Amino acid sequence: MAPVLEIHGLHKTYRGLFGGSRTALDGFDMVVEAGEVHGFLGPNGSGKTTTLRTLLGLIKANGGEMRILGQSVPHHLPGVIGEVGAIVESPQFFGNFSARDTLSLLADAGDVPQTRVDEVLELVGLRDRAKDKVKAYSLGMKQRLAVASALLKQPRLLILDEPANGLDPGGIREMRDLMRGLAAGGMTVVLSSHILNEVEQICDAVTIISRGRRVTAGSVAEVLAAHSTGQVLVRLESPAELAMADAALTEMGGRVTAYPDHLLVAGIAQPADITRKLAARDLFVSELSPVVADLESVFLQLTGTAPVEGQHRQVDQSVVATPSEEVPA
Amino acid sequence: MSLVRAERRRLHKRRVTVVMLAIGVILLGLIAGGTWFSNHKVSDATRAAAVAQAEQEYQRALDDWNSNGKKRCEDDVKAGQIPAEACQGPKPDYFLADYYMPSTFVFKAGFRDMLTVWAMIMAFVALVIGASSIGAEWSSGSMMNLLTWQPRRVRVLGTKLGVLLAVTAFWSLVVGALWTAAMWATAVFRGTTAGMTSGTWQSFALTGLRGLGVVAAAAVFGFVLASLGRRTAVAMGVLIALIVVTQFGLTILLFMAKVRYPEMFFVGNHLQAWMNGSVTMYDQTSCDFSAGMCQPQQLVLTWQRAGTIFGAGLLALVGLSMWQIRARDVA
Ligand SMILES: Nc1ncnc2c1ncn2[C@@H]1O[C@H](COP(=O)(O)OP(=O)(O)OP(=O)(O)O)[C@@H](O)[C@H]1O
Ligand SMILES: [Mg+2]
Repeated sequence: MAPVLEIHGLHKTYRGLFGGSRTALDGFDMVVEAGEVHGFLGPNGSGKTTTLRTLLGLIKANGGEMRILGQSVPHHLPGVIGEVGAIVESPQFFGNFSARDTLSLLADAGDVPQTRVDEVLELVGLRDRAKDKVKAYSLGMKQRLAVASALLKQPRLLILDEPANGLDPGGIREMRDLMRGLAAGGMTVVLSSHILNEVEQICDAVTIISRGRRVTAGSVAEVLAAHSTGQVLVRLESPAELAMADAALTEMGGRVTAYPDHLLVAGIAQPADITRKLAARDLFVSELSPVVADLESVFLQLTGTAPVEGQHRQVDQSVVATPSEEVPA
Repeated sequence: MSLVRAERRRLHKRRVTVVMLAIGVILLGLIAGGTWFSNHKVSDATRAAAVAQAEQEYQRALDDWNSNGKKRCEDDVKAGQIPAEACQGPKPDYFLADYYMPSTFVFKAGFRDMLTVWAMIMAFVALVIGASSIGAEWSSGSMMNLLTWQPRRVRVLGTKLGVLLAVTAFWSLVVGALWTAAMWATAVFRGTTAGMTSGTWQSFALTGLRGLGVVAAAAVFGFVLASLGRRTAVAMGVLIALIVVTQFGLTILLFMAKVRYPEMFFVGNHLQAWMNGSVTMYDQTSCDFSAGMCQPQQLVLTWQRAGTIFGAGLLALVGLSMWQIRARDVA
C-alpha cells in the first residue's frame, strides 16, 4: 500500500515583504504509512508547523514534492482535502460564534452532514458548552474545539499540530485514547508534539526534524534501538571490588565508565560474557541490566538540544543534518 | 452550493451585520420621522390662510413704503446716489401665497432626493459590513481554518464577495421598499402624491437601481480593502486617509496646479453625476473678467462616465485582491 503521506526534498524560505528571509525547510523528507500514528518531533522553530502548512496549501513551497493519499499536492489538494482533517498550531476561531455555530459553518463549507457536529462535540467533551461563545472558552476548551473541527470530516488522514497544548491531564489521556481508537479504526494520524513520553506511548513511528531537515525516522522501537547506547549497567555485591571488575572488563574489550556504585559497560555483545568473566575472577554480580534509551534522551541527543549546565540554549541552536541523498524514484 | 450557504449563514450570524442594518434602519427611520413632522397637508383652508397672509404682508409693506421708504428713495435719487428705476416700491408678486404655505411633501418632486438618502445610508452600512466580514475572518484566523477545508482560494474569496453582494442587495431592497412605503405614506398624509405617472415611477426605479449600484460598490470597496489588508482596521484606515487626502490635500494641490476642472477629481461629484444623471462643471479660469461678464466654459460629467470610472476602479481592486489571495502565504 502506498504511503498516506510522502514528502521529499521540501524547501521553504519565508520572505518578508521588505526583504529579509528565513529558511524554515531545507530539503525535508517524511513518509507516513497508512494506519500508523506518526509522531512529528523537533525543537522549537525546526519547521514542523511550516511543513504542515505547506502540506495543507496554506503556504507555497520553494521546492520539493508532496503526496497525500497518492495524490501530488498542492496541485491535487482540492481533490483530497475532504480526506484530511487538520489543526495547525492551535487554530483560532471567530470569538463571537458558539462552538456549534463554528463547526456547523465548517460542515456546510465542506459538505459534511450537520448531524456530525453534535457527534464530534460529544467526542471532545464539549457537548454541554457547545452554545457558549468561543471567546469565553479556556485554552484547553479551544484546543478541544480545534480537534473537533479536524474530526468533523471523518478524515483518512488526521494532522494534529500540538493537540495536547493546554489540555489537562485527563484531557491528554482522553486524547491518547481517542487517537488509539481512531488509529485502530484505520485512520492515519500525524501528531506533532513536544510531550515525548506521550509520543512514545501512542506513536508507531516518528520523524525527528531539526533546522528544517530530517535527522531520523522510523518505528519507535527502531529509533530507540538504533540510538540506544548498547550499554549495560553492572553492580557488584561489594562495591569495593568495582575497580577490579573495571580492569577485567576493559581487558576483554569493553568500554567502561565507572561510577561510585556501578559500572556502565559498552561494547560487549553478550551480557552473559560479563557474568562469566567476572565470576572467573570471584567477582559476583548483583545487578546486570541493559540501559534502555527513552525517546526523550534520543531526541535530545539527535537534535543536540540537551541542556548544558551554565548555558542558555537559543532557538535554532540544534543539529544540522547532512542533506538527504537523492531518493530513488 | 454548500459554500454559498455557509457564507450566507455566517454573514447573518455576524453581529456587525445585524447592528449595521439596525443602524441603517434607525437612521432612515429618524429621517422619515423628521420628514413626517416637518410637512403638512395642504387643505383649502390652509391655502386660503396663506393667500390672506400674503395679501396682508403685501399691504403692510406697501404702507411702509408709502409712509417713509418712498421719500427716502427719492431723496437718494436726487442726490444721484442710485438710478431712478430703483424706486418702484413693493410688488404683489414678491408676496406669493406659496411663500406662506406650510411645507408639504410632494412625492413627485421630493422622492428622488429621498432615494439618494437611502442609497447613501445603505452604502455606508454595506461598506462596514463588507469590510468587517472579511477583515474579521482574516484577523481571527477563521479564514485560515476555512482554507484548510476549501483550498481553492479564489473560489472562497469570490463566493464570499458574491454572497456579500447578494445579501446587502437583498436587505437594501427590503429597506428600500419600507422607505418607499414610508415616503408614500408621508405624501398621502402630509403632502401630495399628485402627478405620479408610470413614467415617473419608472424614472424613480432607475434612480433606485443606480442607488443599489452605489450600495454594491461600497460593499465591494470595503470588502476588497479589508481583504488586501487582511484586517477591518486597515480598510477603515485607508478609507479615512482617502477622505482626508481628497478633501484637503487634493483641493490644495489642484488649486495650486491651476487644473481646469478640479471638480473632476472628487468622488462626490462622480457620485452625484451617477445618481442625478449628470453634473456640470465650470472652468473659472477660462473667464476674462476684464472684458465684462463671462460665460465660463463647461464640462458635463455624465452618469455613464462616472459609472465607467467607478466600475473600472472596483474591477481593478477586485482583480488585485484575487491575485493577492492566490499568491500570498497564509501564515
Ligand atoms: N510567517 C512566518 N514568517 C517568517 N518566518 C516564519 C514564519 N513562520 C515561521 N517562521 C520561521 O520558520 C521557522 C520554522 O517555524 P515553525 O513554525 O515551522 O516551527 P515549529 O517546528 O512549528 O516550532 P514550534 O515547536 O515552536 O511550534 C522558524 O525559524 C520561524 O521563525
Ligand atoms: Mg509549531
